[in-house]
Amino acid sequence: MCNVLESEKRKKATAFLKVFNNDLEAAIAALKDASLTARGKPRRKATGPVLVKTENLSKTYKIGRQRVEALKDVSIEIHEGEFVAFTGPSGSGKSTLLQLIGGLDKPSEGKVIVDGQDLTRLSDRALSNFRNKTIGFVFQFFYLQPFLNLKTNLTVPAIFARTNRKERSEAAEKLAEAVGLADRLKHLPKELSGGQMQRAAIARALLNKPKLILADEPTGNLDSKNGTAIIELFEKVREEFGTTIVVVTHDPKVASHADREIVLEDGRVAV
Amino acid sequence: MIGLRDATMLALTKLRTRKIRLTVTIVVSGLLFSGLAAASFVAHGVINSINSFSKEGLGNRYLAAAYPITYYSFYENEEVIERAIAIHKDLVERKQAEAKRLGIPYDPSMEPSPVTEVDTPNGKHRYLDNFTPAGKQAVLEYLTANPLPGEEDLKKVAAPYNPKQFFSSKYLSPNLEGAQLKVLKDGEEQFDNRQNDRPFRGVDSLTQAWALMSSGLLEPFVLPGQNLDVGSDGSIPILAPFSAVEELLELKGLPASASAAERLERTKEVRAKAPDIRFGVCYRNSTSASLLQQAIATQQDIERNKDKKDYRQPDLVYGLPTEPCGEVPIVRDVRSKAEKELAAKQQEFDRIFGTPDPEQRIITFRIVGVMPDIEFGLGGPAFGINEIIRGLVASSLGGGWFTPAEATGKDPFLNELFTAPSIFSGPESLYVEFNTAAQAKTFIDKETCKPDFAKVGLEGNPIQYCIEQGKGPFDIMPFGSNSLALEDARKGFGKIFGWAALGVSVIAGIIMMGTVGRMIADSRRETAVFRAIGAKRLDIAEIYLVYAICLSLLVALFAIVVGLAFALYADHRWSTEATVHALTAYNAHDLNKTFSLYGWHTPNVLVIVGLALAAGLLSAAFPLLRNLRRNPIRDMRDET
Repeated sequence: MCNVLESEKRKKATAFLKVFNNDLEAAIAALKDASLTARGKPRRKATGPVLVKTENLSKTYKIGRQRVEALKDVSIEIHEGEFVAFTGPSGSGKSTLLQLIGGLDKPSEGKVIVDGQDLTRLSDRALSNFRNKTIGFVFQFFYLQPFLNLKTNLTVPAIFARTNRKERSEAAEKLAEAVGLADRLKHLPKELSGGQMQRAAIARALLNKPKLILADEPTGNLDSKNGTAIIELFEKVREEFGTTIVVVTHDPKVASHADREIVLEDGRVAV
Repeated sequence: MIGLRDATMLALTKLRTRKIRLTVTIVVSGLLFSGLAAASFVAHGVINSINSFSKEGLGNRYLAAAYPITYYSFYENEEVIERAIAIHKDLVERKQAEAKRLGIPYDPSMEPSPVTEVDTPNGKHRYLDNFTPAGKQAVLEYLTANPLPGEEDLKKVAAPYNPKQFFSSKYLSPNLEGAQLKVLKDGEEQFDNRQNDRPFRGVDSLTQAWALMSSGLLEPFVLPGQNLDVGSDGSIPILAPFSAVEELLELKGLPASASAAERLERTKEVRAKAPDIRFGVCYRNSTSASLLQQAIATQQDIERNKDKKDYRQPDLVYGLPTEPCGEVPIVRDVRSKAEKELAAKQQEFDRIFGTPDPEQRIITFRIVGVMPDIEFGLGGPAFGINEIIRGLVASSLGGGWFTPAEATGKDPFLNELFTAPSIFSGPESLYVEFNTAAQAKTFIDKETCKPDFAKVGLEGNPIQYCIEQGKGPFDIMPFGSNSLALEDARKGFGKIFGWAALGVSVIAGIIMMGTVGRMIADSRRETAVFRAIGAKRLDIAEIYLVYAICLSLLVALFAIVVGLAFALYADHRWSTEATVHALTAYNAHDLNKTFSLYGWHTPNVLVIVGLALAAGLLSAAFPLLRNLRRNPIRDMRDET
């Protein structure tokens, strides 16, 4: 089994290299091949180094005079290359946990360490850099800029990374190719379907080659078929780029694709 | 900070949202700034045109007009009143003695009293009547003892400011006192005693509007080929008002409805035909004028009654002169010997007490220049666009008839005419020329005196007041539309433009703040997404500032286009009108020169763009600062 997995990994790595070497046809073929072999794979155990670590993480919001404890004493670890799903009922704190890991918010107590950096100690500017370089966000509602065409939308994270125009243009084209949107580069978001928009959002999240993708209900706004396709795309990305994927979801089918499911209840890790 | 091109690309996406609000903002703010732009283009066009035209007038000279402070407190001056009473008493006594000697009747009670008594709440109050012989004599004596400021005083006041030269002017009308000047038409004297309803137009304006002026001020207005010397034929050079030249050329005045183009053509025609026109003017002193009026009235009376059998002509009848400007002849005299003797004695009596013998003579003039007509708000609205244009291109000299003062040296009669003593003849208007605008400006600023009559009081002496204030006894101002006046106009415009610009910027800023604030609020989710994918606060600020700059540039562009359109329209609509006035006012030698109401002025355009940018950026600052402090998570959550 282990050898089979290694073989798949090599195939996908080859496909990825081909994408970045402009051998697009070969890359697409390799991706298709890889994705076929990835389907139906069993859950695997995390073995890589720890990428995300939270220690006794708590987050309390003040709503009016009321204090709401969104997270209570959460300590988790996520390893490099892992595909983890945060599940749980609404209000259980899964999105809050995702945002704290993404450096979008500061915890009330505890630590968040991502890629060796203690996010609670980073300045606003350093946090921006961290989000830009280390994290790729995928949102339920895609959040593509409606007046920019697909190609420009994909390059937005690279704009904030000050990547030069040529490099980011090439990267956007390659990623669009990789997510099956090469023929939609000149299109505006309104001319794309929901599934295509979410694939575009994933491509955008990958543009700065992040180590970690944080996806908040990425299939929540898609039909079942498109939802499955998106999850498969996450799996491919994880396999090809070695990217760690963390998905917040209500959908058991999505969770079933993850290597590991972290269930939250009332702000605490239940499983 | 991200690259400007990328920031612009992201900012431009914002201009594609809320298009109606954006359009309204651009139009309203743009219209506000367009007022500034239009004013700037028009003002610059006018200033350029005045600059161009005034090179031929007095435009490149630094002149100040100094009007002596006058006062007439002698009306209530007890010393003058007492002197008038004494003169009156003496006059009555002399007249009684003379009447007795000549054996003619004289009634002292008919002699007008120089003092009028008026009942007031504080008792009786005495006023001098300077129309009476004694009153006039007392005032002349007073003015001789207490002269009003004149050229020598001005020279002393101006000395510290390094003056270049002095000039003066003087109107004739106060000296006439019943005498009359009538232009001969085709060499013939016109006899009518109708009241002229337009005394300031045409040839009839000569009596009211003829002035002597230093040739140094008239020279720039002399038409090509003409000079200011008295001609070898004795013709006196004169610069005549436009309507008078028209009349002398027997051109019918254009109707009020005439177009500016027609008036321009007429101006060119008059200017071309005016040089060297010679015309005679009949001067009659008060006695001659009075006899002529009597003759005209009698002749009209005889004509009216010629068919009445019982009508009897007067014993003494004066007829109309038989030659132009001739003596008024006696055409019927059936008086008795005694009546004739009595009349001769009365004439001698009158001559002794100041009534002159009749005198008339023809003065020959030669037109050497065309000036604007004197305008006293006659015809048309006082604040119409034509009046504004006329004000803008007012002549350096003003309107009317001008003869070089130097001509009085060659024509004793002219000299006598202008120097006759008169209590109504105010002091001459004086002018001083400087080498630089700065000297002239300092002189005007430091020496002009505008007496506060509330402080001076009715019986106070305003000249003394000026001296106590450390100023000269003159009301001093830039003269005509010379460079000093132009500089003042430019500064005045600059000041008004500055205040208007401030007001417009504040209002436009508030309007733009509404739109920018709304747009920033609308874009909170997008800002949050950008922050999530790595944008720094500074990147976000840059995008919105570029947006505010783009909005400001659109506002400025709209303002400049609308302002330009207005200025070009104004130029198209009123340029010919202004050219008509300017050609005469500045004596332009090139009759094809035009007075434009449009002028591009890059510095002012840059100021408008700068103000629009400042308004836009300031309007963005507050909403942006508020937005940057927000938590992106909350914004994302609020929007979903």
